[in-house]
Amino acid sequence: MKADADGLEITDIPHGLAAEFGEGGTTARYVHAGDGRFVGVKPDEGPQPLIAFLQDGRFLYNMRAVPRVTD
Amino acid sequence: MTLLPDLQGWIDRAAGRHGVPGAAVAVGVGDQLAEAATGVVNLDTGVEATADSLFQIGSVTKVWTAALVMQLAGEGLVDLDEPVRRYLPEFGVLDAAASDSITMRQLLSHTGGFDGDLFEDTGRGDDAVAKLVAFMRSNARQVSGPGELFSYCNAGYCALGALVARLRGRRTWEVAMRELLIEPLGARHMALYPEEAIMFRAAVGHVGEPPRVSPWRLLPQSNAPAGSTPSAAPRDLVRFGRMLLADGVAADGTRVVPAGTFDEMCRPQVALPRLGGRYPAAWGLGLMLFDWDGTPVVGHDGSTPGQSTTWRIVPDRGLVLAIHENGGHASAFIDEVQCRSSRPRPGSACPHGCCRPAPRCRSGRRPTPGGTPHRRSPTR
Repeated sequence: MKADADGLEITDIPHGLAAEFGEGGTTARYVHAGDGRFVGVKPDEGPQPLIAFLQDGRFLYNMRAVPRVTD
Repeated sequence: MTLLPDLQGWIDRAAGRHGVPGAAVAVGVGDQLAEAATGVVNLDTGVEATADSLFQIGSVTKVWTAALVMQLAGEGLVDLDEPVRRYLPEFGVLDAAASDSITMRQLLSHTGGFDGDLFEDTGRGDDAVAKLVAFMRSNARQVSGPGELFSYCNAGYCALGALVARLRGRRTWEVAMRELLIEPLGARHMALYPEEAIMFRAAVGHVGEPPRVSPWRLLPQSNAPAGSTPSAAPRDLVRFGRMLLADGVAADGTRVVPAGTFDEMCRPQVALPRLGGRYPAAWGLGLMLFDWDGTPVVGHDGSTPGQSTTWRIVPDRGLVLAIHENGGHASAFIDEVQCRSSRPRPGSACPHGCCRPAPRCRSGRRPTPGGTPHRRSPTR
């Protein structure tokens, strides 16, 4: 994950079966949306995704709790 | 007074605006029911969608699986706070300690702490779900301790489906669903297998722009209790919601779930980060819990390849809403229909935030391209 003044650039790193099947990581940009939320710049299958962070940023939350592996 | 006399016109126009091939909607308020359908169930065949067409309901199924578990709890056959293994010894995840401690309440509220997106296709057959449960033991990776965090978990519901079948002495989750929920409820337009669905006017999903019939027909039977295979007409989702609102009693007086079940399912188990009005604020036992400007609303969303369903109950108003669609800009269509059909009064403000402007970033710019941040269906 990379942060700048306006928002975040987040790369998903596949693991488990997804990694075994050769899925590559995808990178998406998010901007501040207030109240600790970030909104995706690009729509994801129609909607623009909203995310937040849990437990001092250890997890990205997008309905799943996704462990963060880098700063 | 007729309920929602303009419903047909709304969904015709909304489907056109959002490129939706076909849709069916049912809205129940008290004893009144409004239904409408638009477009086609399949762009390749051109068969028209009707109010009794079947659409895949995806993860809305989880509420039905949760209701089966609540039947067991209400009859004293399980304690939701006991480890799943007490009732389903073969249940397990990669972490041995978590395998011993994860409870049914945690699976119902998605707080088991393990990665539950295990869509392994174990083939067709009565043992499809059991094989997935076995697969979980060597593939379900813990991301947090049980009970620590909410993280949407499909596989947990598959385990619950296996547990229901085991304790009820039924061959499969599907048999339990049919005998313990669908038939007592009087739901006539619901299918659990493709061979049942083809007895109805069954919708297929569409993907891409322009929409084309999805090359993926169904998700694996291994995930059926989480929502991979069931389909229903919207009126039967309204029927299910009305039964819950009636404290577990179906329209014909048959008791389907024990008294108090709906209240228990609506009790918040875990608060969620506030992402926005269209996202749930908390999770109950199988139910998403929303806050529409102070009005409690419960329900669930579901999606399969190229199909989406939204199901809501507004208890204070006795309102149950089911929206199915099969492609195009699903979220925009569903938001629009949900907004118009659930407003307390014609012309009153949107109750759930879908019509409010997108949040701005700190620099004052709206995210681009335009549009509002929509709920992301958690089914997959």
